[in-house]
Amino acid sequence: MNRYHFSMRASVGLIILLMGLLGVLLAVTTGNVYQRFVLDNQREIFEDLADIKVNLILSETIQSTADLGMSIQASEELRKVFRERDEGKINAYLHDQFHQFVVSASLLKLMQVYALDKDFAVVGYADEEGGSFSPVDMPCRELLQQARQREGYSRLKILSGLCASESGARVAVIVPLGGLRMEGYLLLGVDPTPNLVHVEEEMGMPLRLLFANGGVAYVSEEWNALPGQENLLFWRYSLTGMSGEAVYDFHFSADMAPLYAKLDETRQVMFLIAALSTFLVMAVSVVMLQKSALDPLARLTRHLRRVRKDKKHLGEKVIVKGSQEITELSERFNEMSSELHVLYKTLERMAYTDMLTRLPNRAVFYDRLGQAVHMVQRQNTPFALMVMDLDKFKWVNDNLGHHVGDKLLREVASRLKRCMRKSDTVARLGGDEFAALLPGILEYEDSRHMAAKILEHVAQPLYIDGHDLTCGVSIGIAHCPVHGADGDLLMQRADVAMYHAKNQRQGFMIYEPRLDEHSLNRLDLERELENAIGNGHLEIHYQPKIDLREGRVIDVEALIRWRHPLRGYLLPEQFIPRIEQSNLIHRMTQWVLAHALRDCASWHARGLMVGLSINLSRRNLDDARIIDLAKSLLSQHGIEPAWLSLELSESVMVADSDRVSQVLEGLHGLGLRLAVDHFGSGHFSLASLGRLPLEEIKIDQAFIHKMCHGNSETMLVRSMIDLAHNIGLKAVAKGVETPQARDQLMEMGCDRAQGFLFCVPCGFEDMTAWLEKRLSQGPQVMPRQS
Amino acid sequence: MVGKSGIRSVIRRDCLCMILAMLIPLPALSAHMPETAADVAVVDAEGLIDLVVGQEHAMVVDTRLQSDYVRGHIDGAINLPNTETDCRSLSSTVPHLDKTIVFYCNGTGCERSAESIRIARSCGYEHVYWFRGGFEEWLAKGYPYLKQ
Repeated sequence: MNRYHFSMRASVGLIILLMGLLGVLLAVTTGNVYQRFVLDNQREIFEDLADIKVNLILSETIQSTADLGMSIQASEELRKVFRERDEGKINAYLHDQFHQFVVSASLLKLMQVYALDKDFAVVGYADEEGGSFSPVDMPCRELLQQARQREGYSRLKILSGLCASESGARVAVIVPLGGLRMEGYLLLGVDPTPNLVHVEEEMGMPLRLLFANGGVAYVSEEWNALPGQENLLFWRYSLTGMSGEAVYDFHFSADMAPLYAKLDETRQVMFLIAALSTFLVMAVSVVMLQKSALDPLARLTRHLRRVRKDKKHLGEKVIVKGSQEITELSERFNEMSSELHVLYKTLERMAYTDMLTRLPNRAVFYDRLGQAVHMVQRQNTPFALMVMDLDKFKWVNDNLGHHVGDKLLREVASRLKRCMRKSDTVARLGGDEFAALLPGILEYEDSRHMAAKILEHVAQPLYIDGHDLTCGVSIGIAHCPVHGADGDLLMQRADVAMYHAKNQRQGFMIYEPRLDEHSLNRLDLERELENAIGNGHLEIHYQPKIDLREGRVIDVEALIRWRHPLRGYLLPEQFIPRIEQSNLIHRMTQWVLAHALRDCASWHARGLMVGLSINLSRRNLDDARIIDLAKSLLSQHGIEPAWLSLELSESVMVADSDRVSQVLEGLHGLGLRLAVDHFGSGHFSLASLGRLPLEEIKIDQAFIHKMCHGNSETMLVRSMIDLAHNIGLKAVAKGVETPQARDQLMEMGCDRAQGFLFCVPCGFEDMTAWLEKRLSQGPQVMPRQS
Repeated sequence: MVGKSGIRSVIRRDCLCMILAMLIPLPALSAHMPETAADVAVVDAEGLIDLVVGQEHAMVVDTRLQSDYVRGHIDGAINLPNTETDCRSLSSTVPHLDKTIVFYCNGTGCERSAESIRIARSCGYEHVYWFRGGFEEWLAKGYPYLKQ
C-alpha cells in the first residue's frame, strides 16, 4: 500500500489553504445570508418610505380639499343663498366650484360637494357630472356621524377622512360654512387616486394601485414591462381608511440588479481580500516555519547524514536556533549524540579488546595475523605464531570459581605482556586460550627461547583469593613462511603443536608435519561434529543398570559414540572434553536427549518399561534452557519425568554457582531423577551431596576394577556405599565385570551395578533384544523417585 | 407755547426714556408683554368665537403683515397691519368707536396686536379685546382658517 508523505512545509501550506477555502466558503455563505438580510431590510425600508410618502400625499390632498372647502364657504354669495336656502342657486354655485383652478388643473379631483345645515341635512349638492343628490353616494358616512356627535367649539373644526366607496375611494372633508358665525357645513368628496399615484414618482418605482375591492386604480407602463425582467423585488403597502378598513393596496416593484451588482462587487472584494490574506498568512507561516523548524531540522538531518558517513562526527554539537521545541530537540539531539559517542567508543573498544584481560581480542589478532602474512608475502619478513592454552584452567574455574579463574587469566595476560617485545602482539582468543604474534623471528631457536621465557614467567606461583596456585601453559608454535603462508593454516598448525605439547606435557612444541597425522584438531573436530550431527554419524549405545538384590533392570544409560568416517569409533572421552569448550555441547546434549527419549518411548511402546539415564555436561547446567528442553522432549515422547535420570559429573557438586543450583532444582522440579557420576574420581563435597536433590551416586569404575579382598580400594568402595546409604542415596557400582566383584558389592550392600558382566554397551536394536529377553523373565517395576 | 425750561424738561424726559429703552433689551420687552393692557380684556380662541358669535358687529382685526394674512387667517378677520394702523385707517375699517374689536397677531411673541390696541385705545375705541394667543393658538387648537 502506497503511503504519501507530505513535507512539513506542504502540510502547513495545505492546512492554511484549507483554512482559506473554509474562509471563502464562510464568506459565500455569509454573503448569501447577508443578501437575504439586505433584501428583507430593503423591503422594510421601502415599506416605511411608502408609508411616509403615501401619508404625506394623502395629508396634502386632505389639506388642499380643506383649503378648497374653506375657500368655497367664504363666498358671501354662497352664504347669502345658503341663508335663503335657495337650493337651486346653492347647487349652481356649488357646481361652479368644479371649474376652480385646483380642480380644472387636476390638482384635486373633486367629485362631490354637499351643503349641509347645522343638523347636517343636505341643503345643496353638486357633483362633477352634474348629477342629482343621492344619499347612497354620500362619501364617508361615518365622518358625518362623527361630525354630528361634536358639541361646542369643536363643531367649528374641520373633519376629514379616507374611506372606501362603491366607486373606489374617497377623501371626505367637512368644513364649517359661515365663518365663526357658523351656519352650516360643506362636505367635499375627493377622489385621491390621481394624487396618490404620484407616489410612483416619489418612490421611483413602478406602481400598481388596487382598491380594496380588487379593482385596479392605476397601473404604470413600467409595471407592464416588468415580466421577463430579472432581479425584481415585489412588495406591497396597504393604506387603511378612517375606520381601519383597507382602502388601497400599493404594489411596488424594485429592480434589485444594482443592489445585486453592488453585493457581487463586495463579494469579489471580500474574496480578493480573503485570497490575499490566505496567501499572506501562508507566506508568513512558511517563512516562520522555515526559520523556526525546517532550517534547524535540515541542519540536524545534514549532521545525521555526516554521522552516518563517518562516526567520528558523533558527539559534535549542532547549534540550531528555532522554535522552543526545535531548540529542545537539538539539545536532546546533542546529548544523545554525546552519549552515543561515548557508547560507540566503548563498543569500538569492546569490539577489539578482550574486556577481561584488556588484551587485543581474537578479531584484532586475526587482523594483525593477516597483515603479518601480507607483509611476509610483500617484504619477506618472517614471524612466529604462538598459540597458548593454560593447563588445568578448567579445574580452577570449576573448583575455585569463575572469579578466581578470571583473576588467573588477568595475571597470565599481564605476565605474557611482560614477556613480549613492543613489536609483538599478544591476544586472548577466548577461554584460557592466548596467542602471540612475534614478527622478525625466523629461527626455531628464537621461538624456543621466547616460549621458554613465557613458560618460566607464567609458571611463577600465584596467590589469588587465598589460593596458592601455579599455572602451567602449553605452547604451540608455527613459523611463517616455513609452516604456511596463510593465517588460518598457521593457526591450525600452531594449534596442533599446542595440543601435542599439552598431551605430552612438553610445555611447548614447534609444529612439524608429522604431528598432523595424530592430531585431532579442535577446529576440525568442531566442524566435523557439526557434520556428524547432520549426517547421522553420532550413535547412542545403551548399557543397563541392574538392581543387585532383585536383579531387575533399573534403567539404561545412554552413551554417545561417534562413528567417524576416517577415525573410526570415537569414545566420549576422546571428544567430549573438546566439545565442552564450545557451544556445540548444547546441540549435542539436545541431540542425545531427543534420540534417547525417542528410543525409550519405543521401548515403553513395546512394554519394555525401563528408565533412561543420560549424562549431562557441567556446561549444560549454565543454561536454564535445558529445563524447557527436557520438559518439551518428555512431553513430545509422552514419557513420565520419573523415567529419566540425569547423571552429573562430580565437579558439578563443587561448583559454587547459584545458576547451576537453580537449574538442578528446576530439573528436579520437573520430576527427573539426579545422580552423581564418577563418584570418588575427583573432588567432592559432602555438603553438596546433602544439598543437591540426588537419588544415587555412581562409584567410579577405577575403584571397582582394583577391588580385591582387604585392599584399600575395597575399603574405599565400602565407605562410599556406606556414605551413600547414610545420606539416603542409592549406591551404584560402575565397571562390574566379574561375578566376584558383583558378589563382593552385594556383600557390601551396594544397591545397583552396571558393567560388562551384565551387558556391554550396545545399539538400540541389540539393547531392545536384550531387554526383551531380560524383562520376559519377570515384571519390571518403575523406579521410585527419591 | 412751550417755555425754555419746558423744552429742557421734555428733552430730559426723552433722554431718560431713551436710556431706559437702551438698558432694557428688546427680547426682554417682548417676553414681558403684560398679560392685560390697561382697559383691554385678553381673550383666548374660544373667547374670540364667543365675542364674534355673541355680538353681531364685533370685528376681528389681523394686525400681521399682509403676506402672513394671505397664507392663512381667521375667517372674517380684517387685515390691518399695525404699521398701517392709525386713527384714520381704523375709522375706515371700524367707523364706530363703540364697536367691539378683537386684535390678534402671530402669537404671544408678537407685538403687533399690542401696538394696534394701544393705537386703537388712543383713538378712543372703547371695546377692545386682545386675542393674545394669536394665530398660533388658533392653529394649535385646530380651528379652521382661510387662505386668501
